[in-house]
Amino acid sequence: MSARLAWATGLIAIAALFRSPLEASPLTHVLVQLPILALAGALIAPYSRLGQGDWNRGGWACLLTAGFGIAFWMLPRSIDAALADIRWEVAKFLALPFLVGLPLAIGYARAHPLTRAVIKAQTVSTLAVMAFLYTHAPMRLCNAYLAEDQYRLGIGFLAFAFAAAAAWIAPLLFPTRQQVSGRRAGIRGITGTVGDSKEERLCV
Amino acid sequence: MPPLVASLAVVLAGGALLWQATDGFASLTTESARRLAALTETPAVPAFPVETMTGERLLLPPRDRKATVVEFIYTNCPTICQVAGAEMARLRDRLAAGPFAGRARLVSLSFDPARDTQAQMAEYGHWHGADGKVWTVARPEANDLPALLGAYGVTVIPDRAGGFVHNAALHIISPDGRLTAILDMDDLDGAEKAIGRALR
Repeated sequence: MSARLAWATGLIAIAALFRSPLEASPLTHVLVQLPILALAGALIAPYSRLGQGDWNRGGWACLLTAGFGIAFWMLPRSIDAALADIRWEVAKFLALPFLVGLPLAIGYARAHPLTRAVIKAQTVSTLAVMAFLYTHAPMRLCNAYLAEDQYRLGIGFLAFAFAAAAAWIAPLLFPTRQQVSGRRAGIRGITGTVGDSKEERLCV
Repeated sequence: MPPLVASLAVVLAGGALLWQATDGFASLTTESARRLAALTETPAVPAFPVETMTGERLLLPPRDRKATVVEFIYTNCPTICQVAGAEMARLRDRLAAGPFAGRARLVSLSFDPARDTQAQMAEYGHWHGADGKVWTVARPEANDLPALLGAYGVTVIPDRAGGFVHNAALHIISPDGRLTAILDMDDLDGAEKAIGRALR
């Protein structure tokens, strides 16, 4: 228990201590500092009894909260504001852990497998759209950052899109033993028959 | 609470937050937000003392019966400011030939007052054909610079090549000192119309 809490505190401390170098470029601001803060919130999710009530059935309320939190901090003007105004910066350090990371983890834990699949697909496509936007926008989207850095952020989004897609596709191509036996059990459960092992490998 | 009610509450709160944060989904960037604010709120611009290319000292924006067009520059700028200087010259010529001749002044305001001395400003002005009256080059006092840039909503950042990058635009100020429009440097048509509105 204390290990997760220590990690979460450590991550927030890193995001705060290395504020200047991280925020010097939009690439590290958006794709390193913000995820670090969200991860800190996600780490403390198992302690929270917050999302266990019936109101959070299927994780929907928490997932929607995280979705709006992400949308808000995806706005270029929110990023500009965090750099220009210390109150916005404080809001960022509170919102990313507690309104993005924490609800995302709580909601995802209760989400139906189909909901999770939609979230994954949505994540990859959103990252790809952001990659296109930041590499092709004809003007600077943040007043605080140079056009060349904006382009680098776009390439960073593209890398994240590929990484997320690869991470989620990999188990389908290279299943672990555990996943294979889990799926076999699933097939038996659905069909009520025990198939030939060669056929099953094709199914997997 | 039933799950549907909880989710709807989140959607309502989140939607209201995003609506608020984007001026009704109208502006996603700081630049579009400040341009929209100039049109809808026409904020009063505080007057700052400036020194012009002719050594004259005045308050900017001046309170008289003319509209003022302010652009931001630094005279060492090798690229975009030179283009901007040419655009200001075109705007001056266009205004002189239009219905608002003699009713607007143009100011190229330096955000690099340490390097942009009066001699430097005069050289830049003569190079671009600024006469020091209808169109002048000016610099604020270094102490006023952060407040001045804040009042206009201008962000200046180093470009890693010894120069600066900033959100360059034409700022149209009414005779009573209100920021009434912010336009692209090359939007001369829009600038003339905005000057007409500012003079009304």
